Amino acid sequence: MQKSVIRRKKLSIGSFKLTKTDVSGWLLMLPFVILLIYLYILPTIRGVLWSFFEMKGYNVGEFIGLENYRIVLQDTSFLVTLKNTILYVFWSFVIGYLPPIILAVMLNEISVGKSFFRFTVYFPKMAPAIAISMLWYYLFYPNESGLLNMVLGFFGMEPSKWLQNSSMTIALIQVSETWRGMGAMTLLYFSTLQGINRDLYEASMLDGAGLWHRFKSITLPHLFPFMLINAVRQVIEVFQIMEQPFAMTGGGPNGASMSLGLAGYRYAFQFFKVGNALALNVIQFVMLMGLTIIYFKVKSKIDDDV
Amino acid sequence: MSKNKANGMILDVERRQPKIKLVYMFIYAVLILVSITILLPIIWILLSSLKDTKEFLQVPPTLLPKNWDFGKFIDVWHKSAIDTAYLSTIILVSGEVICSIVLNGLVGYALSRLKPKGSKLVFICILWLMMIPHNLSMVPKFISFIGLGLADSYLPFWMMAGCNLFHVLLFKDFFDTIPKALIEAARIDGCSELGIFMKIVLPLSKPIVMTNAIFTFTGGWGEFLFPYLMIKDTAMQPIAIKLFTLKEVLPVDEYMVALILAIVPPLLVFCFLQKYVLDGMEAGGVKE
Amino acid sequence: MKRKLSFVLAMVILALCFTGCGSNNDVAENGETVIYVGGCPVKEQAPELWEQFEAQRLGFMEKYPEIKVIGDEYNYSMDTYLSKAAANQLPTIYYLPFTEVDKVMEAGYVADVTEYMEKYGYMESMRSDVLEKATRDGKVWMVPIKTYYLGMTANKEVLAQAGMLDEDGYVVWPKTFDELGQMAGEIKAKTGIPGFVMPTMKNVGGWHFMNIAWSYGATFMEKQGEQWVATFNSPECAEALQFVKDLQWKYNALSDNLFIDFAEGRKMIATNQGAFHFAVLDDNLFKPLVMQNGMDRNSIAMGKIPAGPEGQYGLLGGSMMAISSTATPAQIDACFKWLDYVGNGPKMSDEEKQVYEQSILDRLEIGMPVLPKNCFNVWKSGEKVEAQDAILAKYTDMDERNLEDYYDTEGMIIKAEEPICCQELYIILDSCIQEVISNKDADVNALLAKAANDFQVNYLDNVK
Repeated sequence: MQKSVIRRKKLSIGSFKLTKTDVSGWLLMLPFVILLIYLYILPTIRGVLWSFFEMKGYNVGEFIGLENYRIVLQDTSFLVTLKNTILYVFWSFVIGYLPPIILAVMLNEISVGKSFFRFTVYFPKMAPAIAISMLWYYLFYPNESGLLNMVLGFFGMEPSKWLQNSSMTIALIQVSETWRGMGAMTLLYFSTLQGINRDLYEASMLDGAGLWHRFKSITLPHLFPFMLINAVRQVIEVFQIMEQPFAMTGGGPNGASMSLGLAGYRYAFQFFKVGNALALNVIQFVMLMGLTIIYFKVKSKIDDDV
Repeated sequence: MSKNKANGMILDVERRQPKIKLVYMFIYAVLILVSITILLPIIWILLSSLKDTKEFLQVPPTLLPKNWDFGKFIDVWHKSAIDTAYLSTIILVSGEVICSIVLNGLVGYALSRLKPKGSKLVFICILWLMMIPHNLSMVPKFISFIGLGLADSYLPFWMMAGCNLFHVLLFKDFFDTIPKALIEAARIDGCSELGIFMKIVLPLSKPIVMTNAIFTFTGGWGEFLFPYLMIKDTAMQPIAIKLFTLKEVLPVDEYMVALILAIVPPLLVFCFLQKYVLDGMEAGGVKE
Repeated sequence: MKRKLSFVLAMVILALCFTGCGSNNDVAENGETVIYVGGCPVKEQAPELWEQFEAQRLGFMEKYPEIKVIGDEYNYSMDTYLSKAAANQLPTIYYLPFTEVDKVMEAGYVADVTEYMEKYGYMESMRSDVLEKATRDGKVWMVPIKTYYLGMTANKEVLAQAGMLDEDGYVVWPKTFDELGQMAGEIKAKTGIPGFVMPTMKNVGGWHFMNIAWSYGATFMEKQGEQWVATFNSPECAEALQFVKDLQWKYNALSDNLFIDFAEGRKMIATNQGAFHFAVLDDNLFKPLVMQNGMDRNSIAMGKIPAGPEGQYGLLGGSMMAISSTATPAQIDACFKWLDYVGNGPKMSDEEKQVYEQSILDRLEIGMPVLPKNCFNVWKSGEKVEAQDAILAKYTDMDERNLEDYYDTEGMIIKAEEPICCQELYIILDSCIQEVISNKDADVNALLAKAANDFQVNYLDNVK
């Protein structure tokens, strides 16, 4: 054993030359690599392939070319659903993008109570997402017994219909999502802020710069790359939203909170039209791949800069 | 990484200025407001869980419940077989934690320390696959699990936990910091690579292992869609699924109890192991 | 080297892509025929029910030692069916709702049982309209077990609170939809409790709405040549939808919560949070009301859905027994023996009477209500129905007067669901209902025009 290590015995198969470390390294990775292929690569390729076939139940039937795509794209609700999905992304930015940044900056300024606030903002993230969706379903309860209507009542306002008001549904679902995810994002930005060299602030102060100016000229430029990356990541994540409308509104009222993800779920698991579901998923996939490529472009540019 | 290092824009010398004091007041006001919006809903379900359906739906609503009947928690616990759900969840999640630590850890180690020929390819694969949208693979993955007869089984979830790309990267980054000399010494002592990993590397890696365990735990505890599709045996359903199906059966007030019961365990974990969670969270964020 | 490696990898993956996932059904072991029977109660959840099933199972195996029965907890649900079927995990015989017949047959998961239906005497004893529901291309694919029609249930406690029972304490059933709306509105005005529970989600809204729409004279689809055409963009259907809208905006009779599915609707009635609700008089009503929420069985009243301008309708539904297409002839035969044994067959021998009586006693033991008589049967009236009625009358624990209106089907039209794409239609109708209830300014005609077009383009046009 010892000898072989020292001598670095080489194994050669044709032109391959593998050292013992190579072999044991690959052996250690083997289960993972198999899983990687089975759980990530294979299903993705299958998904694309099968979307061109007629699926009978869960069995692959005949090749039907673009028929599944035709059905999905001609569906009268496709554009509405796409628009809704974009609205999800839009509202997730309007509601959820800035608060974590602001909170992180504030958190970074204080010293007393820092760990308490870090604790409270993060803890909704620990609870099961489905529990949070259900919790918010009841917070939005449309008569006076819902918490939010209680609060409105406290200020002497009329109770609102919340989720049932179709123009608000998506925004409100994003409120609940922000409530859940804000803490995690805050901590990300917070740890990014830790990387700023304090001397910069000092120098800036000596130049007579106020807080706002320091924020603009030092903090913001430092945060900017991360803000950009997170923005792209947020788009990718929210674009696939499914569980929240599934649990809270079932896509209603009148389709107002239908997302592409939920539509795919319906095709696959309620209408038994697996082929259609896959076609829809491929369409979504292609759109997101575009974003993913942008993400990598942005990220590598930032990595080069940093 | 030291958390409480003063690193803000406001410098110590400025602390006394009245304008800065105002800024501080504003900051605290905002933070307290945020804390309230986060804590209030939790308090509200606690209170609501003690009301009965009629009181819950009553107009005008009551703020505090009329009677404080904690026996209801026990009722719901029995009636809804929460104990079975807890048990299933624990089996599901422990398997996930073990698989996640061992398999992802091994790969992280191989990528970080052994770097066998061609491992760069795996690494690039991981980076790319992490960003690839998962929605497309869901249905085919589901079909192939079903085809293998893995419905009503935890194995698929253990497999998925054992192949968590994000955790591989966390592990790799951590192992990059372990001194090479230690490993070389063990190697010269004749340890196998698996032996080195188990005996030398893992014991040194308590922080990352804890972080991994906690994230896998909370992730598994809250996982919804896939278990919902795959596990139909009611006795095997984890708590998140239980919670979803209970909504159909339980009256509003008892449902609140179920909600609390589903939320409490991960929160306890968070309370006690806060440090690992927050550190891990931040470490992961920077690396990603 | 990298290129070679990725090439090999790619080939392996491609090969894997095309290998299907097959699995086999193990059936006979040492000459024994094994059947898996779906709908077996879960031991941990309903120990009494489970024991009763177990008693039946053992009794059956004693009578037919060559057959082995294994209980399977599977009950049909839309989102698990395909996965179970694909994995070959369906029981040999299991329940299936009427609505799913087409979908399941198209996927090829059920066996042709025509010959056994003849052999065991189903063909002559079963009502032809019911039999028709299980027949395609001249062959019978499933065994109808139970039929029902949609009626309206009322919570008498809530009605009593609103002071709306007659002097004997019984429900005065609204005869028209307008009456229903007014009564429901009055109940809410007096008690704050929704007078009517209108479901809006998970296909239930559409299902209930269809019944209303028929009574207004609406039709939903018709076959023109080879092509199905959606026909519900009509003034009749608009009137029906207007009624639903009025329930909210004119009569103010509905609950504040818009999102109501099947279970939620039941829950509302059971917990005194609603007065009237469309329902079927069967165990799907009794379980949530009486068993789960402890409602008094004699607070449940049951009547017909009110009449519209074009008649009084009751939507026909029911369940069938489907037998897996992987079953061998011996297994199918064993399934039919099982059906006979548990009292689902056409015959009524003394032994079957006994089994039936025992099943009623079992119900009483666990506190499930026993009806005063059969209400709507798959059988042509005759010996079997009479024998069952006699047993029911002996043991019933329900006040028949509460249910009178439902039993009386005189002048009523019992109509089966639309022939194709029913669930898809319901989802579209759900949306319309959600819109008219949540939006005061919703334009009923425009909604239906859009809905009909959606249904046509998205579903009917794709029917092959």
